[in-house]
Amino acid sequence: MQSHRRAPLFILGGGVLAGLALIAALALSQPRPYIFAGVVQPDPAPVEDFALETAGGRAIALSDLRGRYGLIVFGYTFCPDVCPGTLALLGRVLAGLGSDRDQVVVAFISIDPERDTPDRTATYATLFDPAFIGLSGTPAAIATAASRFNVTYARQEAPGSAAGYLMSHSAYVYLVDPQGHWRVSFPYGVTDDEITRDLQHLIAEVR
Amino acid sequence: MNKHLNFLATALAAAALALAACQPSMMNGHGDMGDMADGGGPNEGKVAATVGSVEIVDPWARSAAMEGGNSAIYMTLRNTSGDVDRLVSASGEAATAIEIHETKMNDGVMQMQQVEGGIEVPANGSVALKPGGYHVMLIGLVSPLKAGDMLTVTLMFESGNSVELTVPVMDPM
Repeated sequence: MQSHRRAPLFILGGGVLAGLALIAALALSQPRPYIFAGVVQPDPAPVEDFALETAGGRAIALSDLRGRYGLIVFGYTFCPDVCPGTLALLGRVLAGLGSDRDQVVVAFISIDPERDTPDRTATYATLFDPAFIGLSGTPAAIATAASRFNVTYARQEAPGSAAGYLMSHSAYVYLVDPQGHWRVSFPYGVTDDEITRDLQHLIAEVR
Repeated sequence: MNKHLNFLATALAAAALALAACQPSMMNGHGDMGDMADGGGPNEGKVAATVGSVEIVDPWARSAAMEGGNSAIYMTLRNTSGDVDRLVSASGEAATAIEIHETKMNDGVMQMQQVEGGIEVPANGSVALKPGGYHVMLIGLVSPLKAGDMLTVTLMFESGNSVELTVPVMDPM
């Protein structure tokens, strides 16, 4: 009796095992698509050029960053919390890239031209990393730059506060590739390691 | 028969593991503001001061190199009593003005505002002041803040208690 029951079970067990092994082998043989930590732009398109000013009023256009990956972030120097956190994070991203850091440029664009002159913005940005580019400009020039990445920002009066007013603004970091295509957006909360890994993937892709 | 069942179970487990290994493992949500620095559980962190029934846990100030710039102080407030309390104001010599503020994120847009009525410290609960959320805002720093520096701030609570707190300056991680 026992041996009658044993044989079919053995065959069944062997069959299931072979099937699972086949599935596992197939799954392992598929190339795993890289999964970005940031939000990938579905159709990377060239970002229309815009120009702003850095220290000494020197004009810098987005197209001047061509040939390197650009990490573009909007904020304001009066911001005590999110903006310095993001810039410190991007400093660690550059550090994490090691010898590849020269392939990446970080641009901090002020959306508060009333307080942030090009000089002040440039000084502020370089306090986080000497290579950072701080940019400001006329309200119109800033609005143009912001529109390229669908950035929204607004002045908010703070009547009871010594701040006078505060700015709300999109808190993403935008990644533009060396050809000037907007590729990835990193929401607030993505870690330095995740951004570094995404950049390393892009850099390795073209090697 | 037991042997065969064991073998089958082991094989199934191995196959399941192999399949699981093929799943993308980096689908971590970036969620909301809560992810950056955690407030910690009921008994985590180091109590820097106790004011009334509120423990002040792991306070730190963000380093800020800009001359005359702004910065923020963070901490966890833990209430050991059954009565709600509130952090209503802060003062000190480190900055021209010291206020209680909150950063909020709506659809990726960062917005900051002064907190009306102070930050509630729930009864037998805790509230975290952390990057991307509640913070004590330092407006117009008297001198830049370098990691390793200490600054002093006085915190006032709704209970009427106040405390002078020594806060270490750190580079945020």
